[in-house]
Amino acid sequence: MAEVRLEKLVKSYGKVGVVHGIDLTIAHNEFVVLVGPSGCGKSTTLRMIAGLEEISGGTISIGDRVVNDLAPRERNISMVFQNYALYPHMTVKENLGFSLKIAKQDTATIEKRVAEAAEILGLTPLLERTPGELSGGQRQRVAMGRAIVRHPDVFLFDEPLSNLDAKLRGQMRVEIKKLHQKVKTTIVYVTHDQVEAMTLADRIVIMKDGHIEQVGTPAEVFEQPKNTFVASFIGSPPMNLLDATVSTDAGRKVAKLSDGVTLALPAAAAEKVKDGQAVTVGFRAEAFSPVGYGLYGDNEVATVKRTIILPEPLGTETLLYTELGGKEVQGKMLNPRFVKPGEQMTFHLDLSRLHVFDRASGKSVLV
Amino acid sequence: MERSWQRWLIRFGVFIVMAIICVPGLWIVMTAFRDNVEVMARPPVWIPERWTLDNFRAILGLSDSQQGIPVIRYFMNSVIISVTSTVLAVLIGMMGGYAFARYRFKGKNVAFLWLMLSRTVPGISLSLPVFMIWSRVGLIDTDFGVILVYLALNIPFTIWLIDGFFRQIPLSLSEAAQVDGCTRWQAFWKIEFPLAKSGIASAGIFAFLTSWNEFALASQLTRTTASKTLPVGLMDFTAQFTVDWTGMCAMAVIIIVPALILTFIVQKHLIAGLTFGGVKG
Repeated sequence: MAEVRLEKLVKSYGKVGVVHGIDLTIAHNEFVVLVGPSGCGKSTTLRMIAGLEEISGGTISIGDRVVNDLAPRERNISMVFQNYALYPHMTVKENLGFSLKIAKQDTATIEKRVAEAAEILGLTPLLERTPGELSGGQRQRVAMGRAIVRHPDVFLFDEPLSNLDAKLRGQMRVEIKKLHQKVKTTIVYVTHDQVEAMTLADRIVIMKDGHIEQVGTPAEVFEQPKNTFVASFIGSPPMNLLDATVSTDAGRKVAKLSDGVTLALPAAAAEKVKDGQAVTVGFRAEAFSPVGYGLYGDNEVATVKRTIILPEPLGTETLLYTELGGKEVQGKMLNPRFVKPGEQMTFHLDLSRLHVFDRASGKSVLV
Repeated sequence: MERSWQRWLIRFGVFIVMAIICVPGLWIVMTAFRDNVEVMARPPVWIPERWTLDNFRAILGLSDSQQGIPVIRYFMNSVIISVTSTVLAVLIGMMGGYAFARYRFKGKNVAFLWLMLSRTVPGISLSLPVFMIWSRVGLIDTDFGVILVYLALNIPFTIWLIDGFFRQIPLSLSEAAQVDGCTRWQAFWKIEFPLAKSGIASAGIFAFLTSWNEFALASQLTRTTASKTLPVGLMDFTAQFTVDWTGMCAMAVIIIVPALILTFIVQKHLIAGLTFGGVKG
């Protein structure tokens, strides 16, 4: 069992705090992704788990051991670095077998485990090459191979795909996912790319300024963001967020946008707000589509007529930039037809998919 | 495209520059093998008419005509002093360079600056103070005294050079090794040291050549065969009114050859080192 538990974890450099008391439990064999903008403390947290960074406060345990004062080599973890950190003077085979050699395993075991890892990652034909003779994707695989030969309790990935081009990144993402299915192990993965987070994670941990903003499954953080930060960070394009004021109209709570458009609030949110409350309403592009080009079912919608500022065709859908509540917003057109800038279109906004945040705190009114 | 006359012009320029650099050296080598008579001849005899090993026999004391000079003794002194000071300078340079490259500590920048500033002081200006101190503590005319001075000359340089090489090596390599099960010490010897090897070799050869060729300080601090080095030994060929040029040149060849051989041996590393070549993750 390799559960990873962070309790009140703190990191500071002198007076500058980087991580401010994080609590997080990562279950055995769970794939957890730490995501957030740069400087949010996600890499520092990972490096503290690895033992490469001293812990300023709190505890980290792996399995049932508190590892605070253990050196990296005593933690039975392995790590894939952003720049791969392959040993340039060793062949792929030597790179893969290095940790086993250090652990004084016998040659037969090393050969066997290296061959195993090479097989899983398709590195067998490359074993005699040096890292300098490999492409970016191959180096990435060697780095992962080096991590899996050890059969560690926990895998740590520090932005492993950020040095690859977009296409390769997509491929490697799939490989990492497959790897986790083959080699069941606890994984902690750090990235600033929310797409990676959404596609890979069992659970996502969204961090900002050294705090955890929200922990949840990809669906949870996408559907029920706890605050405006999570709402705007997760999902592409980011959620549209508009300032509004709550009032009551014909017995229903509505949010009035700065340009006078009123949106009836979903029942759950309506219960939590007062008249006159300053709120931020949010909706994703897919909840805001031209009539006939969206998926609403029988949901209640608000109808507005808008001028298209810019269409952005993406093939199966087109992003439409227009204006609502005094701000630029994005809508989505499914199975699109050709749209010209300046064209007038009637949009439906799916009110059941409206998110309401308290403007002062930025928190969802449902929390 | 370069025109051919341009190419020839460049070649000619290179030839002139190389000639200026090489001719004195060649002259020394040729003089070492020529007759004493030819040395002073006017007009000069460029290529020796008769090549002879007499000069080497003479200084090694193998001929009857002339008393030998303790070349072997000087050679041994030179080897002991140069090798010891080089090995120590490289070891300390490695530790210092690694510390400067990898650790954060108070006063690091100031310390580094002072090390570099020490290089700006001309060595010869230290000769008198060093001589006075050494004579008080009894280090004059000892190998140890010279080694100590050469260490002081070489260490700032080796630290600076090796620091640069360790900086080239991504920190994550050492971290990866530690995650892979190494202690920091193992990570250093198994990963960082092999990668910085060319830099360390460069530092070594520079330190060695400095010690091997140094004359000014050694001429002050050594007195007898107990510690005189080869360059200082060259002065044995000057008498009150005469200079034994052929003998001096023969000894100069003995000084040059080991340095040349060593340089050739580590040449590969030196080139890789001086171009700060390819450490890539």
